[in-house]
Amino acid sequence: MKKKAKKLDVDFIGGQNNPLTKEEQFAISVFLKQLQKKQNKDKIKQKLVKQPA
Amino acid sequence: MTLVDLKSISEKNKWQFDWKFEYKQPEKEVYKLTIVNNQQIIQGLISLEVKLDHVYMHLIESAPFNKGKTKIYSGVPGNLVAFACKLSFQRGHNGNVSFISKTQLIRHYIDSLGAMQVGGRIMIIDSIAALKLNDKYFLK
Repeated sequence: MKKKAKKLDVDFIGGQNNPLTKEEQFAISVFLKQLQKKQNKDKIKQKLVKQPA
Repeated sequence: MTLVDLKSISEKNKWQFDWKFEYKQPEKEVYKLTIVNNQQIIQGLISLEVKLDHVYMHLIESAPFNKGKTKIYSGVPGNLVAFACKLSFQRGHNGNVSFISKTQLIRHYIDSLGAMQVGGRIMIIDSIAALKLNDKYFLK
């Protein structure tokens, strides 16, 4: 059975007192690069599977 | 959002955060959410920053009358997050959006937004989750 997503139930997100640190910004960049690599690999795999024999 | 809008957004009018501060920061972009037939009344606000590889959500706040159990509209924060994802696509960042979560809300953001916890308090909405939010909140 398909899992139904919960509805976002908050009055606010984030804040003004705790800005993103340099270390956190770096962690985000590293994560996004890894994610991009993984998605590119998955795309190549899909192309290889789809190609006719 | 304009300077005229800012006049009505104050602590006196029960807004929780200092939106004048957000508006004044040159690196941040502040957007308001209104309904189609009444663009004078602000339903919620979002403060964003377009970084080198994604969009960072500094702050989202629902209007005072859209908070708590007696809120008028319940979809305000979700709509604003979807807008951040849309902006990320438009600015060439594949829909990637990050934000900071309170510890007790991490699970809720995973379940409701499809967000991922990157470590500590950092959350990321990737392109797959961003597309889903886009489909959910924006008419095709």
